[in-house]
Amino acid sequence: MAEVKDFIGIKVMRDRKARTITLSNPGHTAALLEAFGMLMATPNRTPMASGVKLEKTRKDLLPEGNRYAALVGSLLYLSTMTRPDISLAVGVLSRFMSCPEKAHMRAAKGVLRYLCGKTRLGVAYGSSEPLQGYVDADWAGDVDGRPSTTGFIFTVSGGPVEWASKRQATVATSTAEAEYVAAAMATKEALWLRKLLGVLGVDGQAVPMGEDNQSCLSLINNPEATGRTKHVDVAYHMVRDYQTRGDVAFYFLPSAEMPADGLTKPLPSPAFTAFRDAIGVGLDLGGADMAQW
Amino acid sequence: MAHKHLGTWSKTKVSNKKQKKVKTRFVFDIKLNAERKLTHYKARLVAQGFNQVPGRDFDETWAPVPNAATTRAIFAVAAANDWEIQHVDVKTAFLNGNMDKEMYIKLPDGVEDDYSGEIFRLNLALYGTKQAGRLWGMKLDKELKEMGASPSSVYPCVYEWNHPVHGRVFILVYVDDRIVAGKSLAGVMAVKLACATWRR
Repeated sequence: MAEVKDFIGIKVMRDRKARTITLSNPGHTAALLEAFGMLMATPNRTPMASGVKLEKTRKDLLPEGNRYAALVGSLLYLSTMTRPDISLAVGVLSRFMSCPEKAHMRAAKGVLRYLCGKTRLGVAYGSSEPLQGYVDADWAGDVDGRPSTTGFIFTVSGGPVEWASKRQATVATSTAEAEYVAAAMATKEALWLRKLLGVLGVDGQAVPMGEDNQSCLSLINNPEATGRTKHVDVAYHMVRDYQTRGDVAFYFLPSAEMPADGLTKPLPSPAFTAFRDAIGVGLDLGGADMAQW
Repeated sequence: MAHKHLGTWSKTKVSNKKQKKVKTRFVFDIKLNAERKLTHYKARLVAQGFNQVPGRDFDETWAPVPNAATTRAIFAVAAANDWEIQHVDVKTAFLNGNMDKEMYIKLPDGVEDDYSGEIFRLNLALYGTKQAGRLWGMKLDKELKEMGASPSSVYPCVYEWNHPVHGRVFILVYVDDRIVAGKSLAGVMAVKLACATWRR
């Protein structure tokens, strides 16, 4: 008659008194580090260097039979299960699956270097906060063709339950448009999460959605088309609909307090740590980090 | 051997020589927990499913699983509301499912010496067969519904059980990994017990 300790390979730790639960993948992380001989590597503070733009140069291609795809695939698993902190880095790396270059592999190893200092990080729940969403976008962040990057994260009980860092399908002509497209993506998730939580007995009002772009908020709240937004696809206007109906509630959240920022672009060290704390990624309740042997 | 007890296969006279058999083998593994500490050694008899012929040996093979967000949401809600969460372990889960097709297997060398080389009729959804996961999922779905649980409207792998005394209990099914969660310990235990008794 055991309390759950392990579910589909995820380590579940719990403190009943403090009402906290952490989910983490230390075993998968350690196995991955071992497979790439990086268990004892010098740790990085962030998964991806800020200010470095990875692109397709088609020079210095990795030889046939390289393990780039395997590495990024394994990282992708971690990032979707318990590690939203590496989500942006993995999203960027996965853009080069078809033509990996030496610089891309170096960046992928950089994520491993980050992980080797932080194998015991995971998602941590431990408050009674309701569902809360944050949306952000990095306009024209990808230098190959200039699509923007969507970042959103939803927290329940102070910990992340759903997140994404995703390149947008269309090229946005302004920051507001990029944010608007991101808002539409996040709204779809918000609606579903709200329903799911309803089933679990947590009935919420409109899902509060933090958004740091005033023009985007105007777009959401004012159903009119100006010359600069006429081209924005109908598919994205659903966000207006749900805002009016009261299923989601977009509000202004200054960029400095925007947790989804770290899902749209690589952040430097102090900002990254703040981002990680803000989205509810913390040490699992198992104790000290494995790298501190 | 558990297979004998369960009747995974039965001896059969194959009248039709054309009836193809699927070979089986043992898979040995060292099982580690989430922290990669050794827990136990494992041997499992599996069918070589790649020898199965579509249409003859299997049809559909898919089975629903919950997405990561659903799993996390349950833990998040459980943390805030101090729910009980229990793990329900099923030994050799797939062998609960009955094989839906007329299939024959050949046992690996060294197993049941006197019959070695003969063909056996497969009665249960042996691991390795293409449809094993799906058959188990369908069996579990049926059993949970008979217990009084119903799949939730948002996700087929999240079952709700409204207990008259203990209130609502949720069952999250990830193929053979299951979590039972709810406010009342008695309710969670009742579900767990019910799951333990219907087997076989």
